[in-house]
Amino acid sequence: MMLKSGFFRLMIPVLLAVLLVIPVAHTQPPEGDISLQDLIQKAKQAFDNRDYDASIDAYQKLAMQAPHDARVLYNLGTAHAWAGHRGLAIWRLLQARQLDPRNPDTRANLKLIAPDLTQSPLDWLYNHFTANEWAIVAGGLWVLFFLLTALYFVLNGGRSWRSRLRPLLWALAVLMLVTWPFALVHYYVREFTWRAVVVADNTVAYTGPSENQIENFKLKPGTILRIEDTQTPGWVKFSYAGGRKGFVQRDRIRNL
Amino acid sequence: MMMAGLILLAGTIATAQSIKITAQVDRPQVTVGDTLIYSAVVEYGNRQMRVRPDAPDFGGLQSLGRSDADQVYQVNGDVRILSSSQWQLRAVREGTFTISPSTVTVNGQAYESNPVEVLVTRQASVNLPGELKGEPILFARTKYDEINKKIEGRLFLRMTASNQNPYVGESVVISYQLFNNGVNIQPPFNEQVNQIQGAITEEIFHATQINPKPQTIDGQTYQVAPLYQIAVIANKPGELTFDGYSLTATLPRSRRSNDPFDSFFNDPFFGPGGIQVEMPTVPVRLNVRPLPTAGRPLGFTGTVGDFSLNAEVDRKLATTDDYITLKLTLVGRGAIALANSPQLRDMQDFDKVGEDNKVEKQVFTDGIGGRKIFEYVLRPRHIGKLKVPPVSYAIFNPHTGKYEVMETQPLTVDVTAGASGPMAIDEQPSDGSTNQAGGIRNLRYLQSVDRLHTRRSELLLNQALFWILLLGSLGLMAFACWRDRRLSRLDPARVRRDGAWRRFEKQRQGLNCRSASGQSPEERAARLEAATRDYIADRFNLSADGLTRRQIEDLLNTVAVPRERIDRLCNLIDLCSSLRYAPAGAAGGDIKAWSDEIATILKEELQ
Repeated sequence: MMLKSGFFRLMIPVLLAVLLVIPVAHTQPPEGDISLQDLIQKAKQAFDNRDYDASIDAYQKLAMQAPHDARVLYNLGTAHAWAGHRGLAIWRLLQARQLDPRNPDTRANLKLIAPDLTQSPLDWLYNHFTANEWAIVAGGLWVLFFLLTALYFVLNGGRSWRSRLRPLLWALAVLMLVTWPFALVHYYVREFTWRAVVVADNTVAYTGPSENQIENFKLKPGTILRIEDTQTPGWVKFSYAGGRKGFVQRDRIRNL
Repeated sequence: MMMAGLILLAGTIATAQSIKITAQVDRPQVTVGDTLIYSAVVEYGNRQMRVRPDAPDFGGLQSLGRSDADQVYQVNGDVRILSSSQWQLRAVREGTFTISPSTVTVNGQAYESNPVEVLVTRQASVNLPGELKGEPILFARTKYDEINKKIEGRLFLRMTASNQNPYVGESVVISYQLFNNGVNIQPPFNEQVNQIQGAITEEIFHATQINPKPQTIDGQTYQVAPLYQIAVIANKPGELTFDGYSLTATLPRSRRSNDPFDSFFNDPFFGPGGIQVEMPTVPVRLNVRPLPTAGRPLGFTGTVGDFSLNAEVDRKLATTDDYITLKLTLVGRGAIALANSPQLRDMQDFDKVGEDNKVEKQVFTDGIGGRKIFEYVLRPRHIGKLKVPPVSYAIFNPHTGKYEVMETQPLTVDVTAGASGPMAIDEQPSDGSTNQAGGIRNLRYLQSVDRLHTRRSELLLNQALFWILLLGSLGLMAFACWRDRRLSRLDPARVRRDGAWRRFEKQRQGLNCRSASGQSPEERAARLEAATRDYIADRFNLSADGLTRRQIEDLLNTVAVPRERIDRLCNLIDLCSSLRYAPAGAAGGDIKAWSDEIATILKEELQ
């Protein structure tokens, strides 16, 4: 059988190229893994050597790779604190707290650099668990409640069991009523609102999106704002827990 | 097709029937140190097969190697194959040893050889000093018996172990020495050092040349040269056996005599060639004991040995800019290199920023030891007289057979404010409240990051499965409710029956409550009677109106209530009724007692 030499003349170099490239490609170690470990080491060493700017730089690169890693955010916040950047430190520590609310180091450092960030008991309870943790508790209570209610209707023979179930069902209903609002508020805040924190010192809220507008009031670093409008370039419209509203420059805040 | 199958089956059976396996040794009686050959031969007729016997249990004889060979021959036109396997064995101690049958498996069927017995007698140790006669010493061997007899007891390797029954983790020193009483041995020297499985080993000494020194034992002078010394640390309990060290050398031939047996007693005129002499040793057997569980402290580090622990810091005065080195030194005898690091606990005044260790080993006649230094680099968190708390370290001391917990002394370092480090944060908040935390210097240290978490956890409330679970449980409840309603519609009597007791109890409780408001006994009796009649009516799905005593008796009879209880219940109902119509003589306490008794009867008989 005659081979189609033209086809094979084309295929052989292609195959050779593939066979050469694949081993070479596989002998290269994955670049990302090595540089991340080096970066982690570099960040820590810079911090230990009190070169906080270098440490911040390295942790920021890590935060870009892993923006949802609470430890990286905590370390970045701590490095900012040592470097004198109070507002940025509070921002990063608040981000770390959102992801890992019960971490004692985060809470301790936040308390140290932002003692004004006091919380009501309700806020404390709200912030003590993540959105998913509240959802698990509320959902679990829900499932338990309705399964036990189904059991209640099924136990038609043993009426004494029904009377024993009743107080338990009441208790579950009450707990559900308590936990679901937390879960739903967490969800609403995360999905439908946009929150930011003031990071710069001497931040002023204006009545309009311009420095020519009237200075309304001052905002301390660490103040959490709810962003309502971002249409004006460089400015955001906000409201915050005190019920006050205003406009602030975009570069003076960071997103939570 | 069937014929072919039958022929194949017949062939297989025929083949199977003609397989034979036999075993034998070339020398059924040997002395300690001798070698012998164990052979297992399989005879079969199928050229397509390849059959080899499995190695049997040699029953305490040391296996030195295996070789296989095949032979094919014909007998009256039948082809026969002999597949033989040979093992060279060495007798390492005296006794009678039974070599178990060799087996071979063909087409799923196993065939066994005969077992073989070997008698090993004690070496004639005429030349051996009395002090060494009790030791498991194997004499040097050549392939000539006459030479062997002449060098017996004059040339051998001696193995000593510092401890035959060590604990797990305890080091045992195994030493090998060459003993030579006037035998002229020459290079090349070839040694065999076997790998030891199931233990950690550390070579202490390995001779690069033989440097003998004279040593007199029981009047006999030997030239003794240390050859090899190793520390063995077993890492699991049980019997640990490993082949020992062995050495081969050459006995020169004399040019002046053709007698090969005359060549080696201090004769310098040796010629070309020589006689190889083997100097084996017995396998080492250690009985490794497990560490006791009784008395094991919670923080046991796993370190075994006889150690002491000391702590010191490199400076007693420092600033917040300085690093302080805490040095913990572990000194003593044992597997020092394997000692685990102590844990630093309760370090509230310092952050640990670095850690290192180094080992300085020492060798003793009965073991190994030395010093291991653990260094921790600490950074003070704040100013003041900062404490380095005591460090606990639990070890197991094999000499005492007990666990020991060592604790270092607490240390103090006086830390003052450093020059560098900006005041990054106002220590006084702007609203005038005091900063209780003490400022930036009380900030906690970094957290360790080993692997990054790059994935964002999705909200559960966005997951379909979450809602499926919730709605599923709701659906299940709705179904159960619907079912319950349907059953109630189909069987209203059941609803009456199921709620009867609850209603009765409610009315009874109402009776007790109302007594406080001053209700008359007649009213209470009437209510009790009504409640009892209502219960019975609900229970049997009848109307309570006009329910006579006779009817009540008949109804209770149908559910097998004892006669006396029926009478008692009916009498109580009549009492309530008579009180209603003839109130004189009744008291409130009686009604409570009646109520309780009625409830007891109804609960026990009908509920």
